[in-house]
Amino acid sequence: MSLLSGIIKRFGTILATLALTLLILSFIQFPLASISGQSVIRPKEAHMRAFVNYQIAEHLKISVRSNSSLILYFLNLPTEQPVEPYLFNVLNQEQLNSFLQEHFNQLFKKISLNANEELSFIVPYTQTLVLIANNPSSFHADFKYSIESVVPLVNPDYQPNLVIIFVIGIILAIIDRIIKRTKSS
Amino acid sequence: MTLLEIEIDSRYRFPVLEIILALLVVLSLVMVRFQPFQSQTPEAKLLSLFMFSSGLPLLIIQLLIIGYISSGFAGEIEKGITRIFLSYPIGRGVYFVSKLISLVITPVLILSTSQLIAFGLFDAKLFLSRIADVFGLTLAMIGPLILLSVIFLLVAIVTRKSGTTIALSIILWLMFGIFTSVLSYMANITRSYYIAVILWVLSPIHAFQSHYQPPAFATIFKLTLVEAWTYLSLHYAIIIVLILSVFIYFKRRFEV
Repeated sequence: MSLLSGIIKRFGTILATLALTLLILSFIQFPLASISGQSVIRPKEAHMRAFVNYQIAEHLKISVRSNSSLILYFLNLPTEQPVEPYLFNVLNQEQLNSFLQEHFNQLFKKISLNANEELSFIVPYTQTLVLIANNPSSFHADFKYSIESVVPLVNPDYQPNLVIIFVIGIILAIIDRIIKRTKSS
Repeated sequence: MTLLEIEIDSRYRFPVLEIILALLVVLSLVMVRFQPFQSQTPEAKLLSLFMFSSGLPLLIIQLLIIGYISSGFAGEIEKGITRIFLSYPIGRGVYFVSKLISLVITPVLILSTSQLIAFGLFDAKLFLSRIADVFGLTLAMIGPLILLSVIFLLVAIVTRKSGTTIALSIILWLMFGIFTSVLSYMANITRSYYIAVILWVLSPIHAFQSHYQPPAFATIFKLTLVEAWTYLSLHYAIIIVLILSVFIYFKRRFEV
């Protein structure tokens, strides 16, 4: 009986310690790398930038400068599909249109940005391709960008479950005391 | 049971076990997160995860086992503590099994649990959809660790000295690493199936590697899943035979 109660107690402390560690880790985001720069897209030309995640979240910040505008396309590519060929590609308007047509099902967001506007966006945990194109109605797109890769070691979505596991662990860890107290009373 | 309780309680007093486990989970998570993966099949991705992330945790646990065996087993024989224990009505078999559980099985369980938690958190969907593969790969990963640990136990029983056990264990560990690397190299160079078979039996993770063929670790031989499991079973058969041999030696031949 004492061995069983000891095992339950240790199992409880292990669960609680692990859950607490992972819970703390889910709040911490480690900056991994950052890229920043500026770019001008000439008429009839589109820029493509693939922010490959490999499960790493990325903060994307884009600010458009005066007298220009641009369009951002966010495509969610399946993880089996290699994203490398799309990196730093320069397409003309026709190629852009055919690319978007081909990947129509994977397009999950389209954002237009006008002059002096700014966008901060967290690219989700999947393999996301961000396509930066000049707005056909505008003469050119002139923008600054910065990308910061952050690694949350534990997906923050797990937080509620981790809290539940922590509570279960604590209950298991003190269960033998509860049993002893009940017996003595 | 009381002996096992004392063993585990003295070696893994709160919060030693908890901290080791939590740190290994964090370490595995960090190592898993920072691996860039090429496009590959889910099973190959799983194998790459295991091969990339198990390196450092495996090293830590191996060192922990060597330390425990030298101090907790060879050291106790050297200081005469084993003789005192066995003067009580405790069977030699029970004593050996309690040592095996506390010195070898528990650290191996810590390692496999931490890896499984890390993989589960990293990619829960992949983990749950390939649970049989995860099970096989975990067994393949911890197999050589158990094999070497049982050999270290034998070294401790034969030498009866803590320092000698550490030195010999490290030498054997390094020799095993060099031997499997040479075998892997030779199998690829000579394309000899027999050399590959020895490698797969000694290190079953290589058999799974030949089955899944991940891009980073592609091999010339291709195995079916059943063949990979067969080599894994052979590996564990060797471990069981070795444990029984050491057990019988300790029970019948070992003089306190």
